[in-house]
Amino acid sequence: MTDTQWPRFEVFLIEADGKPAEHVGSVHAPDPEMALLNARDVFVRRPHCRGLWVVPATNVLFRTAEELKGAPHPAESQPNKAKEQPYLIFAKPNHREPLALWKCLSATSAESALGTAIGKRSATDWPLWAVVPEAKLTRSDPEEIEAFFQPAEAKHYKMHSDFPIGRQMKEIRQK
Amino acid sequence: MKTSLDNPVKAALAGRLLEMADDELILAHRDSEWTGHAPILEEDIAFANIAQDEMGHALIWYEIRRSLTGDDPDRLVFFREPSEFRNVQMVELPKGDWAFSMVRQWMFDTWEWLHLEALEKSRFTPIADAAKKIRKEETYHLRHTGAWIHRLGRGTDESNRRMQAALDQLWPYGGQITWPPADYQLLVDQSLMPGLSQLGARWKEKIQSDLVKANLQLPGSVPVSFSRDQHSQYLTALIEELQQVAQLEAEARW
Repeated sequence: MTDTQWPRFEVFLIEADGKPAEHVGSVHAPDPEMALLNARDVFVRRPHCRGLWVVPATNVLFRTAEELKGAPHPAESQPNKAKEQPYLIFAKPNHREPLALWKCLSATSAESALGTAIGKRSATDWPLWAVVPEAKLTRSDPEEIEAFFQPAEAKHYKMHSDFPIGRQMKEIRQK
Repeated sequence: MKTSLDNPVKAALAGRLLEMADDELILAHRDSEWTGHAPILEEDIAFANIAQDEMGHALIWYEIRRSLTGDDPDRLVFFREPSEFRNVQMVELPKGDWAFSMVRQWMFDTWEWLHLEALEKSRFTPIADAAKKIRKEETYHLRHTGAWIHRLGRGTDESNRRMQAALDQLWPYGGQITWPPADYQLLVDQSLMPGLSQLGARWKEKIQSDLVKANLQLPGSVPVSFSRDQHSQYLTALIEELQQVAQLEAEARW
């Protein structure tokens, strides 16, 4: 089946200054700028946010503990001397916590970056990993924080239980 | 500064606030007609957000007006005759295709962005404060609709053709936005509201320069200026739909 959708971008969100970027989901968009705008509208309507990152999904290497089990140690399976580039390693320590930025390091490939990052730790301790080449990342402009994220914080939202519709309907029926 | 307004000034200010609120309300209603129908899911959410923002801005202006006249915003919205609305015709036209709604929203966002900048300097503090708050959201709207204008204008032959057609249709309505209501000069003289003709010129200038970048042209036609008490044939049906539920049970509390 052909996919007629726009390309998918993975979205990472920084909730507060000093907190690591967390993976929140994905959006479809024709280009990185539209991906940022879509990410803002889909993920930042209500909660707090200080920054958004988007990256084309095809550039993200996701690895589960299952996949890493028994695989050759990635760092060792990299014999060539290809040019190094910076990678961001995201890790999900358990099923409750988010997939959050854990380490940044330079490597010749996503696999070797992950291998180096995991190091002697048992890869199967944590359920999920993601590796993002920093060069493929588009970040929201800190100067746009005001227009991008502040309005959501100033809004008050009513829960459905705040509306007295049920009681009202009863009164109307009794008339 | 809140209490020292003469009655004629107060009436003129209430009149202008009604126009601003009605513009936002009717545009919000037209935008909301895309909910569930936008070209992609992400844009459906984004445009519904914009519609909700505009609705929120309408309420802010109605509330400031209430502080002058005591009029309840819900009564104004749900129990007024179509002929009593003071929105410009541009916002009441049917939603058309995606290009039409995008061009309209973008033209209006551009206007609001400039208008609000001027309103931030209003000597009437509630208006200046509200303008500061609303303008943050309008900055984002403009970023969003501007991105679409650019991409559709420079997209395919068809997207460019549809965008140009939308512009050709909408531009003549632009003059009504800067049509001053009764006694507006009183408000300008007291630095409560900005002069509209100068703002209108800046609006056209900004639109023109953004359109060039998007490979689109400002139509040659000159916008016709006419009063806001004149409406198109489309407003009556819109208001009927907007008020339908509220009028079923006038005393209901929401």
